[in-house]
Amino acid sequence: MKRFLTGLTILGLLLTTAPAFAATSTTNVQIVVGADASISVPATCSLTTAGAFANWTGVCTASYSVRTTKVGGTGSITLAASTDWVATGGGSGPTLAADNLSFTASGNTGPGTANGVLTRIAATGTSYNVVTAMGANAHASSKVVDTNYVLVNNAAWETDTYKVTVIYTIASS
Amino acid sequence: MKTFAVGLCLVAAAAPALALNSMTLSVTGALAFPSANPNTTPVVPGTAPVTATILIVNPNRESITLTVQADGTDLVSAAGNTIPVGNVTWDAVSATWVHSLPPRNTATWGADNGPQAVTTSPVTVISGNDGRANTTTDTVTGTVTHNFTFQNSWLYSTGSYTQTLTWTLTAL
Repeated sequence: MKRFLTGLTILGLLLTTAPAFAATSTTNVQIVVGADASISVPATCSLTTAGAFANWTGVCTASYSVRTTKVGGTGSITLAASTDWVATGGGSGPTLAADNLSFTASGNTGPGTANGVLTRIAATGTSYNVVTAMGANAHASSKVVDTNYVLVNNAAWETDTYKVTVIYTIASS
Repeated sequence: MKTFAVGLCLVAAAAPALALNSMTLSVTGALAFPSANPNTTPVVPGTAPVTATILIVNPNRESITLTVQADGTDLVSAAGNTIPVGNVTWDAVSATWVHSLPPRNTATWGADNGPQAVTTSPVTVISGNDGRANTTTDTVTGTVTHNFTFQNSWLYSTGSYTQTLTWTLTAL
C-alpha cells in the first residue's frame, strides 16, 4: 500500500510541471451587401384570340429578386420592344406604330406598385413601367409580376406567325 | 527513503527544460466578402485565403491545437442589421510544417477539418505535433491555410457587416 501511494505522488508532480503554451490572433471579417437585382421571363409568351377578330391576349409572368439600398434606394421593372413585329413567313402584319399592342401589369408579389394602366407599346427602344417605386431597403426573393398583353386584331393582316421581342429590365439602387 | 527523495527532485526540475522555448501565432488580419448577386453567386468566396502561421522555437513534441471562434453571434452593420456568423464557413485546405534544420523528430499535422460554419464556441481547425528540434534555437514553422465562404441571400439589408474571428493556438 505504501508503494502505491508513493507512485501516485510522483505522477502528480510530473503532470503539474508539464508546461502549456497558448497564443491568439484575430481576423476581421467584412461582408459587403450591395443593391442588386435579377429578373427572368419565359423565352416565349404566346398571344391567342377567340376568333371573329377578337383581340389577341396573353399573360407573361416575370420572376424577380431585388435588394435596394437601405437608405434612399429604390427599384423598378420596365419593358421595351427591341424589335418591331416580324413575320416568320414573310406576311404583311402588325407594326408597333400602326397597331395597338398594349399591356397592364398585375399580381405583383414583391415590393413596388404594378402598372395597372393600359399602356401602349408604340415604338421600339422606349421603356414602359411594369413595377415602380420599390422603395428603400426592399429585399425580396423569387417574386412574380404578370404582364397582360393585348393586341388589337386587324383583318388586314395576312395569315402568318408574328413575333416581337420585348426586353424586361429590373433596376435597383 | 533518502535515495527516493533525491530522484524525485531531479525529475521535477528537468521537466521545464524539455518544453518549447517560445510560440507565436499570426493570422491574416482581414477577410473580405464582396457584394454579389445571390442568384448568380449563392455562395460567395472570400477574396483571399486566411493563413495561420505558427512559429515555435525549440519544439519538443508538444501537441498542437488550432481553434477558431467568432467573437459575437452576428456580423453587424453600422445601421444595426445583422447576419448570423453561421452563414460564414471555413475550410482548412492545407497544413504544412517546415523545420529550420533537420529535426530529431519531424512535426506532423492531423487531418484538416471543415468545411464548418463559424460558431461562437472554439472549434478545432487542426491538431498536430510540432516535432523535436536538435538544438534549443531550432525552429519549426507551421502554416495552415483556410478558405472561407459566405452564404448569400436576397434577404440581407444593404450595408457593410463586420465581426472578429479569434484564433487560439495551444501547445501541451
